[in-house]
Amino acid sequence: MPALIDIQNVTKTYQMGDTVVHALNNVTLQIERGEYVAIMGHSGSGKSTMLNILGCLDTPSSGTYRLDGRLVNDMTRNELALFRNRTIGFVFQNFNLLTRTSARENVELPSFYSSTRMTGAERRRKAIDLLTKVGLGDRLDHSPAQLSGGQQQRVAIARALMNDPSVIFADEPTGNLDTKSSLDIIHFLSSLNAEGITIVMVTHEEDIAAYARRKIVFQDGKVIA
Amino acid sequence: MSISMIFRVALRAIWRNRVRSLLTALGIIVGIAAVIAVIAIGQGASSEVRKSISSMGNNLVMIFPGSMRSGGMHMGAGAMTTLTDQDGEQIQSQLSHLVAGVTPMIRSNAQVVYQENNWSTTISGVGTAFPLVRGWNVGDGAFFTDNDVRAGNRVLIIGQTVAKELFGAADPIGHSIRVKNMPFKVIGIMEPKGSNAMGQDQDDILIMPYSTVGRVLQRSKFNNVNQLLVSLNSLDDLAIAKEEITALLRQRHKLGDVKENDFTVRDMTEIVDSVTAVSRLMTVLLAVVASISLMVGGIGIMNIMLVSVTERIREIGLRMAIGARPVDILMQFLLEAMTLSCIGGLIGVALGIAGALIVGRIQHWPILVTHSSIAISFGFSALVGIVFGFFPAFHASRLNPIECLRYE
Repeated sequence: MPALIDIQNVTKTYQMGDTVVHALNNVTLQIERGEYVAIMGHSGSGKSTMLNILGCLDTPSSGTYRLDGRLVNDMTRNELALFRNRTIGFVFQNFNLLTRTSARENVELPSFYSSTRMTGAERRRKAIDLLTKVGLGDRLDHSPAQLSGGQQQRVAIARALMNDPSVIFADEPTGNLDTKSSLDIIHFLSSLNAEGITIVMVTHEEDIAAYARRKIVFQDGKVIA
Repeated sequence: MSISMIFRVALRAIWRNRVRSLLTALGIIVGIAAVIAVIAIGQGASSEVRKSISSMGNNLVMIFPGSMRSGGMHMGAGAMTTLTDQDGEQIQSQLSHLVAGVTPMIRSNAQVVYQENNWSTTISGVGTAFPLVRGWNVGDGAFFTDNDVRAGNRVLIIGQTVAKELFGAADPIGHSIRVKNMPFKVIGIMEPKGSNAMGQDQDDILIMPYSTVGRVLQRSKFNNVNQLLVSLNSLDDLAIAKEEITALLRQRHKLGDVKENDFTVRDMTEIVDSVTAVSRLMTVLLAVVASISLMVGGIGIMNIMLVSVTERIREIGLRMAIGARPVDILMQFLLEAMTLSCIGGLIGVALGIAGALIVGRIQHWPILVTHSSIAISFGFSALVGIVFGFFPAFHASRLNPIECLRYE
């Protein structure tokens, strides 16, 4: 069985005025199903660019990227959107929940854009199950403003799980949280991984990265460890 | 994402910013309200004019003797005495598929006397079809009969004004009044008709059989009439009816193929045409005013939608990241703009109707709100939403999700 994520000789360059910036320089890496990977590096090391490409929000300048057996390089915008919807769950540093929208509806959101049609009742059922799973079964109708940071990030995790993705990409998931909430979230991600869900997390905090089972360190657009 | 779902999202977004949404929609509201109100008042006025035209008679066609031109000299209609009551009878019997009723008309003036009261009035000598043709019925008593016409009986029906002047409060029916020193029996009183379009009192009238006017009052040996009034079954047949009447009269008057008509057939279309022309002009002016105000309203919507896109740029980025295609984002903002303008349209229609009713009540103008004016205004407000909402929606759909998510 091929690796879930297969990056071969990927380069990403940006034109910044007269200079060409090499955000990623000939990166090759594989991530297997069920792994829990932390991508580390200082700012400007290329880890965010890597996550954008991994998350199919951006395409490489050269090299190939296969996710779940499919070549991502030359997908159209519409194909990328559908592919993200089915395959990827996102967790962001700033949660990115819809304001003034209940936790349940936030969790349901990915299913609205999916090609497999669910009834309203099925959506609701699944969203409630997921919120219960992240420990917010009693906060279904709370809006993000009524929830703490840690709770908001749990809603975001429930949302990421809504379409049964192959992989969850977490971009500094604890960056906006206090220590207790951070541990809370990181333990929860670990327990998800224990259930077999692949997790790729970007972080610059060593103690957070310690929870992952493998570390990939970026520096100057290259993998150095 | 299904349309109903996008629609719910749009409604929610509008409701969240209800004050701003209302202010944005104000341009549309004012434009639509003005259009609805002016159309309602205009339609009411034009239906009033039509009503007063139709009060001259039911689907009326008038035939006058004499041609417009005779030996190179223009003659007024009625200059010749070629039209007879038999012409009228033949029109009735031969063209009964087109014609509801025909009455001859002989006009005269006379001083009428009852006891010590006297009054100068007009006399109309007509046939028994007169009430049908003019759409004017007898109020008290009865109209005269075919027998009265054949015999030239001295019976008459009086208008409300004559009744008041000669009899005051007393009941005129059965009494005798003197016309040109001859006694006539009053057998009926017409319903009140009021003034005509020219302000003439139509109730100041004596109505008697045309035969009585011709033979008894004018002591004429001829049976010519001043005019024939024809009531058609339907105005849709107007052109055909005029043709057939002309053909029939030409044949009866033995005019052959060369001679000009010795009669003139006229109808109400000239008056109707001028009313239509005025209302058409009004419609054009309205369309100009409406399109300007709707355009201003549309620009307001475009402006606020651009603001809305910028405000919700992270929401757009998130939606794209979790699988919204560009078309999903486009539809979301397009439908929001359309919903906004449609709500403006609805409020505008309601305000317009209310405004027209209030103006109508104060000024005593007739008000006519038509379904088509509502449907068209509403359709236009939806169109404005689509046209002016497209640019902001398209802009949103082309955004890069990474930059949206990073936007501070």
